[in-house]
Parts: sequence; structure tokens; C-alpha cells
Amino acid sequence: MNCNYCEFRCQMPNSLCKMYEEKDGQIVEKYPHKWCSYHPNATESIPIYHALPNCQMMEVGSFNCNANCAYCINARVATIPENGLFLFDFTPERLAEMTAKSGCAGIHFGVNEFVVSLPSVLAAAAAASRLGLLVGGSSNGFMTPEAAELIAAKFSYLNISLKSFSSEYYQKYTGLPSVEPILRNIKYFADKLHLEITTPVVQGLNDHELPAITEFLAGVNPNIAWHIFRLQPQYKMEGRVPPDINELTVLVEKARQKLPFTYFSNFIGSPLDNTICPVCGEILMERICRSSCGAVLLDNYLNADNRCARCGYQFPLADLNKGGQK
Amino acid sequence: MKAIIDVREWQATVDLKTGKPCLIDEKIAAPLRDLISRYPYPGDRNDEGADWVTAIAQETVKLYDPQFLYFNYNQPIFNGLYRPRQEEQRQRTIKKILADCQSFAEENNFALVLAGMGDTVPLKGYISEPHLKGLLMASAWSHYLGGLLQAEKGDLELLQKNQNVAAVIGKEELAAAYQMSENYYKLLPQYLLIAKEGYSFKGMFSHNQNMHYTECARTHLPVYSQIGYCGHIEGLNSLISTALDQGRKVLLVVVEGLGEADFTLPYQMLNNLRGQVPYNGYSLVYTLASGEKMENCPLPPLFDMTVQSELPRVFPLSMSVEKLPEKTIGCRSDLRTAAIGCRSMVTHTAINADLNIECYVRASNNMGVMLSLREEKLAGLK
Ligand code: SF4
Ligand code: SF4
Repeated sequence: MNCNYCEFRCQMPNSLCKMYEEKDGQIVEKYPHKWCSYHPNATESIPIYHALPNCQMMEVGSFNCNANCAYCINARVATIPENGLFLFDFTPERLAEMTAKSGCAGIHFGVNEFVVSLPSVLAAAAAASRLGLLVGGSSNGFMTPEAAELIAAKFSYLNISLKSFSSEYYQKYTGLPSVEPILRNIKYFADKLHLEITTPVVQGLNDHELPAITEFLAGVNPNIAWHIFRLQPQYKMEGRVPPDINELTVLVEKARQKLPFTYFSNFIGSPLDNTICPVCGEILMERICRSSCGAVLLDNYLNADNRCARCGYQFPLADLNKGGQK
Repeated sequence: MKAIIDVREWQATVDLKTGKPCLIDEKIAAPLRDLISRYPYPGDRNDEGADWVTAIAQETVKLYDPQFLYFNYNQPIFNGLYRPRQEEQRQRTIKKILADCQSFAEENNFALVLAGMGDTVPLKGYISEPHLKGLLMASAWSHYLGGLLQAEKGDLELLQKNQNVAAVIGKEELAAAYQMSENYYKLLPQYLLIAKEGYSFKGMFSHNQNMHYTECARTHLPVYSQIGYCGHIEGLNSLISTALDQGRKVLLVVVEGLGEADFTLPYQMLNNLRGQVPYNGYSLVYTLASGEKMENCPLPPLFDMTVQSELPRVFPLSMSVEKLPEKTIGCRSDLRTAAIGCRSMVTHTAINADLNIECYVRASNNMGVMLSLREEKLAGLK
């Protein structure tokens, strides 16, 4: 029997992520409703910039991952051989209730790849919806179309990490065999929910791909928020020099000609983390990037109907509270 | 207060209050930019972090000749917290830190006051109390502290019955006993919880790493002082102020994870309690720097970060303070002051010296170095 949550479609009992098994003719989680951490986090820190500004989401993670990125900042959670971490055991209802009590607008599934705990995630998402809470997540985007459909039915937003435009890079540095399913899912989700993209740049390895990714994303949605991260190499890449900011700035400025909402962050004080009006150049939303713990919104200059106060440009801020899904 | 941030091969200048880009007089900024570009932070897991403090301090003395200087070392606490303790290495580090501080003070004519924040102990277990209906929060800094928010019926009984919980202290109880600012009150959790020795809270905001050792509530802390002793941690500030008033230069050092057992300098044990709550982390550093009692600290010992979005959007790089403290020795207008620390934001937020140099580490990720400065005081930079 195969697991059909991600494109590895593992044949049991060989669950690559070590999170699923076959029981009574069904694929089930080995560790249902187990979470490694939970805490309120600002949307800007996720990052989600074009929805819910200055809003707190309860960020929740499970453990393990279907990928094995050489630079993973959360390797201590994403590469646990077995159940070797302290884990919280929360029913979907309790997780939703705690989220509501904390004053957060909803649950954000992040930290590790949430698809490796998808049934628990979907159950918590359903409980959250019953309490009127939003649901979103960060993902490497390697899920199957079947899983993508389940996610799209429950989530209001996603941030997908498009780590490269080449399958060779994916194979060599992330353990995922192909970029194609990720590109397919980006196109799919762009139609279904609010979608933002993150690309961590490892200089010398994937910076040359930024023009191709620009073209691809422009074809998906020219107003998409694209977060280019100056990768702070960790884990197997520890010791590697982080990308040169001045050189990457040139590439980001170039990308902005096609994708005006391209951001450059993951280093403190980035000057390219503000939302700029593509018509008149006015700052629409001003942030400070605090590096790996994400950005903080300093000022939102949009007027009441999300227009540029200077030229009237209608900024495409997603209103997830009004229905969420597209 | 303005800051220069160095993320290796690139620097930004920001106004700490607004978080927005700003300009700094290049005459002042140039030597400071050069200084932090030459001393990237080696990281918390690396003993070279201790050398970083002393090396950057030597340069600071040459540049600014401070009369009051503060150092913070955190290497002893991290050895064992999230990875198995390497005792031999830990002993070497502590020995080196103490020797470095002594020789630095001697060579530069500072009177030395050095406080250990208390040794860590092997973790006996976590307190997660899964049947609570309220929200249990933990601290990524003082692992023996917990907080309970939105408590419901039965929650207090559960915690009081828990054999690993030493104290459950109500916010209202603290507010009735002490005068506190509105922001402090707002950030206090509904109940402040203290774990018994060897136990650590696991809840909202807990670090997602397993612990090997943990800090514990210390009623007394070891202190070495060349300017005399007093019975309580709260009194040290006045001794430091008097020494400074008498024209002496003072180096105040806080070493995290250093307890009585490894304190090789002559020391006295000073009372470390405010009521039932021990000074630790930010509150300890602030009290040493200001002489203020715990409830007058800009932040409670454990603060409720669920109220973050309700706070004024100021000082985005300075924890959750509304403003930088004004009563510290670091702010004295009649002195040249500097602070150098491995405990990121605590350095400038608790000391608020003319010149603060701190590592920029968030969630164990080493992101660079931040130098904050009081521009008007630094005009005389050499
Ligand atoms: S989620 Fe992916 S990696 Fe995990 S068992 Fe299923 S197919 Fe395999
Ligand atoms: S997909 Fe994310 S969590 Fe998984 S290994 Fe890669 S960086 Fe880590």
C-alpha cells in the first residue's frame, strides 16, 4: 500500500518521513496529534505580507520532514530519527481552543513540513474553522494533487518554499527528486487560496535561477508576494558564507521589474522588505526585518480601502476574514 | 538611541525606537563600523564567544575609555542546556572567563564586580500539565519559570497539587504587594509559576529542543566584588554607584550558568529574591544596572507575549519594552559607559549604556552583531 500524501508515494512499510504506517488497510499517522511547539507569531514573521498585516497566528509544528535540506534551520525538529523529542499531545479541539484563547486569528502550521502530519493538521484545521479561526501554513510544496485538494479545502493561505527551479538542485540539496510537482502545486494553490512564495538563496548554487523563477511566478500571478531569503547556512551547510547582499540586491531589483512585490529579507535591517507602490513608488507598508525571526510591521500607510494614499493604486491585500478561499 | 547592525560584509543603521533607517554622524560611526566588522560574533555554541567579549572590550577602551563597563558571558549556561554537558570544557571556559575578567580589570584599572547567575542542574523532568484548561506558557530564557494565562476552574488546584511546582503566584497578589507600571502589569501572566529544582516548564513558547540541564530558582547568587559587599543583589548597584562617584572605574560582569561550586574567586552569597521570585536573566541585569526592584524593571521575569500585538509598535529590536530604561548606570550623563554582551537584546535593553555591543542571536541562530550608541555622548570618540 502506498502513502499518497506527498509525491514520494512511499510504499509501506517504508515511510521516508517515518510518520506514516499501514494499519487495517489504511495509511495512518504513527504519531497523531503530536506537536513539537506552539506559540503566537506575527504574520510578517511567517512571512505573509499581503494578508492579515500585524496579526498573530498560533504557529504549530509537528516533527520530521519528507525533505532533507542541506541548510535546514529547523533540522533539530525536521530530522528526528524516531519519536525523540518532547511532544505535546493536543486534540484538534484543544489546539483550536488554545488558539482562540491566545487571541490569535488562527493556526499556522509551520516549523517542519506539515504534510507529514496531514490528518492531524486537517482535523485541527476543521476544529479551528468551527471556532471561526483561520488556517494557513508553510510548506515545501511537494504534496500530491490529492493532498493539495484536501489542504485547499481547509486553508486560507500558504507560503510555499520554491527552493530552486531545477530538479538537479532539489535532488542534490533537498532530498526531493523533482521541482515539477512543486511548480504544479504553486499554480494550483494560486487559484485556490492566498499564496506567497519564499526562495532561500544559496549563493553560487541557485542565485542564477532567480530570473527563471521570476518568469514562472509572473505567469502565475504578477502581484504575488515573493520572499527572497538570504540564506544563513545551517546544518550541513554550516560554515558556508551567507550570500553577498549587494550582489543579491541587484538581482532582486531586476526581479522587481516584473514582480513588483519581490522582497529581500532574512537579514537584519534589509532595505528591500517594504511594500512599495508599483505606480508611484510610495511606501505602502514599512517593515523591519529581524532576520531569522522574521519581520515586524512598522507602519501601514494604505488607506481604508487598501489604496496607495498618494496615487490611489489598489493594493491587492487579501481579505481572508471574508471567506478565505478564493 | 541609534544602532549599527553588521550582518557580515553589510551594515545597516536604524533608529532603535522606530526601527526605521537613520543616519549617524560618520565621524562617530566610521570607527565603530570598522570595529564590529572586524569582530563577527563566533556564536553561542562556541567558546570563542567568550574571547569575543574581552577582545572587543579592549578596543572599546581604546576608542571610548569608559568609566563603567558591563560584560555578559553565556557560554557556561549553553554548555549542557540543549546538548549533553561537556564538563571539562565547561570548567575550562569558566576558568578562562574569570581569568580574562580579572586581567582585563587589572590592566585597565577597573574595580571588578562579578556575579554568577547560578549553575544549571541535570533536568529531572518537564512540567506540561496537559489537563490545564488555561494556557500554560514557558520561557525560553528562565526555564524554571512558567506562566498561566486565562486560568479556568480546577487549573490552580492542578498546579498546586503538582509536586514539581514550587510556587504559584497570582498577578493580583503581586500587583497588591508592589507598585508597578501599566506595561509591566499588562505583561505579567495571570499566574507566575516557579518549578522545583531540576524541572522545567513546557508550554506555549517553549523551545523545540530537548534539554539536558536546566536553570533553577536561586535564592542566593555568588558575587565577587572589589568594592565591598552587601547582603542583597538589589544593593550592589549602590556600591557600584558610590565607587564611580569616588572616581573609580567599575567593570560589572554577569556570567550565566556560573554557580557557587565553580566560583573560583573569593565570593559572598547574596540574597537574590524579591518576595518568592528570584532575579534572573533580564531582571537581574537590570537590577544590577539600576538598583531598581523587580517590579520596576521594564519587563516582568516572564512576560505574556500573547499581548504583543496590543503593545505600541516601538523598539522592535528591544524585546517588548515601551522605552529604554533611564535609571541605569549606563545612562548616567556624567560618565562614559559601555556594555558588551553575548545575551543579545538584554545588553542594550537592560544597561542602556552610551555604547552597547551585542551579538545578534535569535532562536540559536547567529545573525550578526548590533552596536547601539548614544550619539550625543560619543562625539569625543578617539
Ligand atoms: S508523506 Fe511522503 S514521505 Fe511521508 S510516507 Fe507519505 S509519501 Fe512517504
Ligand atoms: S523542507 Fe523545510 S523543514 Fe523540511 S528539511 Fe527542508 S528546510 Fe527543513
